[in-house]
Amino acid sequence: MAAEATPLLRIEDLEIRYRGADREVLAVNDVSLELGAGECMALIGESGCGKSTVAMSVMRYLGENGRIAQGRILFRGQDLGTMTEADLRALRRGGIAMVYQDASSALNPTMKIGRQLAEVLETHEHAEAGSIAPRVLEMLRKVGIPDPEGTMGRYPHQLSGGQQQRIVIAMAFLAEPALLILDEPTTALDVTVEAQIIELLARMREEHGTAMLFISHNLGLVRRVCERVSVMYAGQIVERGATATILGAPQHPYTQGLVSCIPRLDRGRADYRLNSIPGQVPRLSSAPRRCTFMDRCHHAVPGECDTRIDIGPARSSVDVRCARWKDLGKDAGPEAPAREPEMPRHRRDCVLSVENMCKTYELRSPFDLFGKRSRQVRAGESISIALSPGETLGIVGESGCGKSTLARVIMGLEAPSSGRVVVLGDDVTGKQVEQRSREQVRNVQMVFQNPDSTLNPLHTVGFILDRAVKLLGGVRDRDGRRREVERLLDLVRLPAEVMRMRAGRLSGGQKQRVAVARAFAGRPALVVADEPTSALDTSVKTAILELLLSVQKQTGTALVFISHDLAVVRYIADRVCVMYLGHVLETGGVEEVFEPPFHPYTQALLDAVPSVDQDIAAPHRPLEGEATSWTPQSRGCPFSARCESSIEGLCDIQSPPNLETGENHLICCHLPVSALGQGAFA
Amino acid sequence: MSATMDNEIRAGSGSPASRWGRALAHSPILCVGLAILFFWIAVAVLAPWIAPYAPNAQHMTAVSDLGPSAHHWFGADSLHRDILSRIIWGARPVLLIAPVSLICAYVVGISAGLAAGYKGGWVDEVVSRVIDVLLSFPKIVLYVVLIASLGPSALNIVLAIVLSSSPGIARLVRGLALDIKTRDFVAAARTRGETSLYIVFVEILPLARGPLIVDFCVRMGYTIIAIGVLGFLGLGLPPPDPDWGGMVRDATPILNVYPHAALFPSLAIVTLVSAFNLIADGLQELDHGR
Amino acid sequence: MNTILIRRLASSLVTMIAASFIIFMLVEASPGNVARKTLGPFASEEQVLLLYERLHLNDPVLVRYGRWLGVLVGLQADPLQDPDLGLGFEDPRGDRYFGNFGYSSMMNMPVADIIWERLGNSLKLAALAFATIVPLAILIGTYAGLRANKPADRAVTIVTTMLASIPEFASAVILASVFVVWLGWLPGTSPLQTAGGWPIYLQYILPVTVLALYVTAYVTRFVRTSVMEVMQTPYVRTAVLKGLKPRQVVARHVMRNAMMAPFTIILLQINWLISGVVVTEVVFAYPGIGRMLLEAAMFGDIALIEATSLITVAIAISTQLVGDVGYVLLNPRIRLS
Repeated sequence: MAAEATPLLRIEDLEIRYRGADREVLAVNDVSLELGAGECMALIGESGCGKSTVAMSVMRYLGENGRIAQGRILFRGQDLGTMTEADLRALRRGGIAMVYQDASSALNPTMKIGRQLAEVLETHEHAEAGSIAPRVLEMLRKVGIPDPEGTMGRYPHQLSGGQQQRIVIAMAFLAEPALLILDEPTTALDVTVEAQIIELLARMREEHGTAMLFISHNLGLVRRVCERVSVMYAGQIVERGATATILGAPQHPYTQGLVSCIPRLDRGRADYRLNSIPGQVPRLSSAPRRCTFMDRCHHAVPGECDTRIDIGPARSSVDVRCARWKDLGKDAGPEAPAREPEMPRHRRDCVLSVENMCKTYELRSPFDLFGKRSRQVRAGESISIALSPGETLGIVGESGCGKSTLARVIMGLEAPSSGRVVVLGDDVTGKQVEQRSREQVRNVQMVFQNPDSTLNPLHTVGFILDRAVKLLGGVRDRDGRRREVERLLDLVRLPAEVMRMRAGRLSGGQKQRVAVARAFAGRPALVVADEPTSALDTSVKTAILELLLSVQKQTGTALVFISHDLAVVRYIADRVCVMYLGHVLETGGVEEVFEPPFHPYTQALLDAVPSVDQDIAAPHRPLEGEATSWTPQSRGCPFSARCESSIEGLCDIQSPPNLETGENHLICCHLPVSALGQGAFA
Repeated sequence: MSATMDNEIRAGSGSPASRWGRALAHSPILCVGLAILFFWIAVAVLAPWIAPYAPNAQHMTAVSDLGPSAHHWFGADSLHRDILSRIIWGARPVLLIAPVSLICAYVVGISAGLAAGYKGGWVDEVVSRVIDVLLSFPKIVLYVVLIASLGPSALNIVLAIVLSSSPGIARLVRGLALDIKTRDFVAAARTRGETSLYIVFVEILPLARGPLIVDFCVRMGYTIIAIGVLGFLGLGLPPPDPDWGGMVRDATPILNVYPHAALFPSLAIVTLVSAFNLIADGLQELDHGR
Repeated sequence: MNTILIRRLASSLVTMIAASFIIFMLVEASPGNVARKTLGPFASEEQVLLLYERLHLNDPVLVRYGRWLGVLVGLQADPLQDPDLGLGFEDPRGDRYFGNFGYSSMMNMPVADIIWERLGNSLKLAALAFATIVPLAILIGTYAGLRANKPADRAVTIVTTMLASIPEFASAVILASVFVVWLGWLPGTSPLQTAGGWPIYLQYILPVTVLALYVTAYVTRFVRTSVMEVMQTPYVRTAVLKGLKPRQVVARHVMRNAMMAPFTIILLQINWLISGVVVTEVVFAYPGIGRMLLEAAMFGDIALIEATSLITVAIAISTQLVGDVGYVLLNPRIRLS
């Protein structure tokens, strides 16, 4: 890092405050950083740590409630705080551009794409009218939009999520910015599309020499994209330096925690332990006089950590904000709780069996009042799975692959269009949950994805669990129910006091714990967990995963764990099922699915996931295109349209056979087994 | 973890009274609205004690000029009745009929809306159609035709208001129910074996209360206006008992000479309606502030 | 797009038919009433009974509704015009034509002869009010919405809240007290005749103002909220961060999106406008269809009640249709799905 006279971006002692309803909130505090031309720096940390606030302050766009209370932001040596509105507009037109997390809402829904892009150039006074359209077209081609001319005349909602993000990137680069701010640019996208976008960004950066400030919570992604990283916690930078050093050998306990929270794609559950960071990010109203991480830190020592701590140099050009970084090596880390012994499994019984399940949705337009005309969309097409007691089946796939539909069909929240669903030997096909017997209802429970909607925010935790105990546990008397609720809270490691709290006041992790307790209230035989951790922050995510595993071990419940995160599935599942557009493409034991031979789709998924300790992008070609919806007319292998190895005249016409490549390991593909799995990942 | 949890428990405490206190401190609009409303409620309750005269008493001798005077602060109407007394007594029917009819309308509207929104299918189809048809009537047409064929009476006013308000309420509740029923806790309730009635009334309806309370206040304003309009058109409460709208109607022929006879009852209606509109604004403001 | 249009049209027709049935039920549900009201209060009991027989009023209500609808659209001969009844009802257009609303017992002439002129007057009044409301509401609403929670916005909010609390008859009384009684600038009645000495255009000012005040306040609040919400969307942030001037952001990105929701609301206001029209016409003795509805209701003129309410409902339904279709046109997300 050569220190230039004037770096492109220089933030000095930045402090940002937001005016809340009752008091001011300190969002960013004592943040300083420097970014040279063409450099790429990441800001990482959990939500609520002030990453996005820093980014928006660089655009000088903090909204009405926010203000820079202290410090300066210098762009090319010019103070943003003292700029006039006109200068600021000029800066936004050519100096700094931004790529947003949710592309679909960042684009004007009632303006054609071409117009929205051209607008960027029209604001340049020197741009001539005639030269605008060709430049927009060229940029669309550059960002890999398939039909640039046609796309110009479309509206945002007519494009897929990945294409919308490409448009936003095109919009940013049309301004030829010196600095590009990326605010979680791929968080809303599927993993294969994420890989495409990251590759596109890397290419664009190379061509344009743009500096980047990359905000993300995904450490693997940061490792792949950025040379330097700043870790933010509670509004402060707690550690900064070269990406490889920080992610490889983190000094600050928070960074260490973050890194040890990440489930590994290349290792099985037996080989390592996932950690979690207890507690939550504090919300500050005044500048902290002690270490903000102290309450959650295993190494915290009173007297040393409760003074004001400044960020300072540690070893190998890494800066750390920690009073005890020198001593950390001597402390024993948090002792990992011993894993409960695995219960012997009874393979003979079958808790759940789904055979040839198919679910078709009829789409009716909201204006269709009498019409019978409707469009069919298939969410699940001949899905078959089976599950034994105590076993965990992981179901992975990208959005739209039908995994949530499968969950809802198993639960009886939706009826399948055809096929059979058997729970504990009872055929419950087509039986909505209201038609199931009390025993059938008790035996199948669910943990939902969104912590904010899984509990009724107005009810108290006590009421929610009491209701579950009463209906599912069948406990009638009041004292018995109370004891049972306390047992459940203890099971999910929540203090008994939360009983009186309204669910709306709990944190995301606490809500999800209550949801787990509710699901296990009636000692069910099967729990279906639909992305139970995907809305949670990294540190909380692993805690919920461990909780699910331990509760499952204690109760011997079978678990269907649905996720888009392959590493999480590798960590939690015994068997894995890879789904694509309503089809099961590969199924088998967890070690078999994550080792070759792979289905081409499985391999593409594995390749797409960036790893924390893999050095800058291994040569790698991301899967092209995006999963579109599967129509009844489609034939052949659903993946054939995107498959690199697709054989014309075979894959797109004939349904592929199930290749048995091991005990219970099935790959649904036309290719010979020998051809499967020579990819980069293997 | 437990340290942060304790903090949260403490933050979550706070008696309902103190929450109301904080709400009032944050919204002057709400304070003003509530003050006006309580003023009118007090007037209605205390009418027999504070009204200077009987509402229907005629003061032939006392009044040579109908205009305001020391004896008749707001003047007298064309039948020589004291306007102030009639306004005070007139607060009673409005403050009785408006809430009663609106609560009836809410019972109908909430039931229909919840059934349509939660059950969906043909129930929704039928309810939505009925709502569409009833909402396509300009309210006044419904009032006029209904009262003209049934005759003016307090009961028929209630009926007219229920018929004209409940479709709008049902549409609002249906929309809210459609939204809330997609949340996972409703699915969780279903997978726990709860009945539809439980889900609708314990899980869904309480969550819709915010928008419904605001809507109730806004509709109270409309309803008071509607009662006034009916009285003004001669379709309100039968004479001679005081009714603000009717008082304005009786005073319009003499408007050129004695505008006060129409002005004071008009202002009474305006203040009462604005009280509810201010309360609705205040509540919304508080909601956004959160 | 066309299918949406056709379907909306069909649905409006169904709504119209259902509404007409409700009107018929409300007015003619009790058959004895019908005969009595047609003949007036001075007819003898025998005459009423005779008419009751002749008109087959003891048929089931659905049959009677079918007959009534048949007469209305000109498929059936109007039984009241039968000379044998001795009612003396004569219609120069014959007894079978589209839009045959029957014979007004109050005016003693076919409803079709009186109603259209009155309707024209009402439409003039409503159109003038509408032409005032829409630009005012959009202007003030946008102004306030762009300055959310600043003093100017607070002022607009409070003033519109107050204005939305004044029913038309009250604002008519207040305005008339000031401009008619006190200042004497404007006429207190608007008979649309110059006999009283007031030019016609001055006769319009008070009714239009009274109508516009309440609805403008309501629509302004709606426009304000909508603009405020759009200003907070990520795509407006994108536009600002593109470096557009505030005026460009508002003109290109805010207005169209912010006007979509109020557009439907503005057209729904026709319903309110019609209600307001009735009251305003009564206050100012304006010769429109609203006052006629009330007079017919007071008199018990069945045919005239039905005609006036049917026409107002038809107007309301057609504006809602325009509103829905317009919304679809404005919103590419629905248009192109």
